[in-house]
Amino acid sequence: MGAVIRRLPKGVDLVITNTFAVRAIVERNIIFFRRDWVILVAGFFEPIFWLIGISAGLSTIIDDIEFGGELVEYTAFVAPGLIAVSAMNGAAFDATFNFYFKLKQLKIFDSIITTPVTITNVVMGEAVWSVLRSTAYATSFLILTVLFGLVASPWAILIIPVSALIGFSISAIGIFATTFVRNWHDFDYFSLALQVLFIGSATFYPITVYPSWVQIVVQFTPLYHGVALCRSLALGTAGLADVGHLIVLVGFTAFFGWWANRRLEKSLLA
Amino acid sequence: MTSVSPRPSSVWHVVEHHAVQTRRTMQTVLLSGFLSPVFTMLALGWGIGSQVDDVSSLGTPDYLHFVGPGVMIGTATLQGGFSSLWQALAALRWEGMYKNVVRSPATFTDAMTGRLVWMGILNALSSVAFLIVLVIAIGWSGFGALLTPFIAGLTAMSAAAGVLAFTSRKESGDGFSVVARLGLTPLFVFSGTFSSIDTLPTAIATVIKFFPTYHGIEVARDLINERAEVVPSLLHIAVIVAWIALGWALSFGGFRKALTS
Repeated sequence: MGAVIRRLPKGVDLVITNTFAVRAIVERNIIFFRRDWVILVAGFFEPIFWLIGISAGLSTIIDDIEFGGELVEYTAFVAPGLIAVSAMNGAAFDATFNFYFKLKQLKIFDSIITTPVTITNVVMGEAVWSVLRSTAYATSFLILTVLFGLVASPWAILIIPVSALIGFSISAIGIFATTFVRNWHDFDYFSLALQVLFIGSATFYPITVYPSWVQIVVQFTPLYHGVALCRSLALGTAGLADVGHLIVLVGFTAFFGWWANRRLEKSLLA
Repeated sequence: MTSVSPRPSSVWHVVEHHAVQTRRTMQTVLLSGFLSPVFTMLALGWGIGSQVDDVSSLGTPDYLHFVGPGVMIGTATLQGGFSSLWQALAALRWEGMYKNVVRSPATFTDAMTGRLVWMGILNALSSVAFLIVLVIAIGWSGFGALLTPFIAGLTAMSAAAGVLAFTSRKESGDGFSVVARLGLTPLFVFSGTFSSIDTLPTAIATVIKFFPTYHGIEVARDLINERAEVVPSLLHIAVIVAWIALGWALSFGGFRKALTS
């Protein structure tokens, strides 16, 4: 006896989502990646390489960095930023490249929406899967940083939900951007954007390094807010500014998630 | 199949094919071979550079002088290595481009040699663009810098040859992303790119010296900073060339099996 999936009225399903349908989409991903689990594990190592490669060497020539009024060792400064990066990486590939593959190449969404599962369920399901992957990466990385003694505050436990939010926002933006993709070559722009976010989001140095106009531009990018949140949680300097970062990430998620959903409904139901 | 040693004129035809094909995907070269590394170099060079208190231990005037050549050669490694994954598999199996090559007077060794030579040329060319930005940022230090694109081309060839030995035996793309993430990324990050190799954990520093990227970065850094000496530089280059030869030799069997049976 399969459970009955009921379609919720349009619009309502963006907020109150049909858990059974979303679960079906997530399960499809789990079954798919069970064969390719090595890819999932490999993705986890990349930020760790960067942590060792950049901070192990540079901590010998960089004195403590001032953050939130306190002096922080360079490795402890970089590590939480890379947790945020691992959350972004966890979501980015599935929300863009894989999403496009399913949408245009396999056309599985065309088949799925002939069932009671709606487009919104699909978007939600894919986003939830991305968030699971993000959170798994970020949590493993967090445990590692705790073991290395790089975490100064019990607030760091909140990095786990924050990394889920980072994954959710990247997923929403990624799926939205993917609705504009014309062919595989367009993903070159995505790779560039990911690299710019990775390096440029004050991951390896304080944002005050930038001229003021760049600092303003960076405020409009998602990863910066994730890096700032993870950093202040890990170093125990969380404050009112972090509420602002949270609001921005929630805003990104809601706005681009809604718009992505709208664009997909238009194109798939056309 | 009369001879297995590559013939220059046939190799050049394969190079030309790849050149024409790349012209259609110039966007990829521009974005991932030029803009992305230039951004990385400038952001890390200036951003991290502003935090470095003790420049003297780097042995260069500032951090950009140090990290610039590192990112240049690291990028050549990534670009060269990547080109031997899905792209090479497509040419060898999916699209059957090289099957067409061996129906001409050119042989399978011409195909693989031409592919590697083209990766060298392409990365040398994109490194010229990278070098122009680097020189604008740090100033003209001398003619030695003009040799760095040549080192980048050789390093790209060595990475392409090494990965091609693996790809030439594969029928599908299984394991490719693992090679990229667990093979190429560590080469980029651990080859003394961001700090002297002595500051890395000993195990990593020991193993990385067996790979070409570290040697390419050493030579390029010496050239950019006008401190290159002939003998040590030639020894570094010899390691890179040895990798090209090794990768070529190990790709041989895979190419022969795929294209002549």
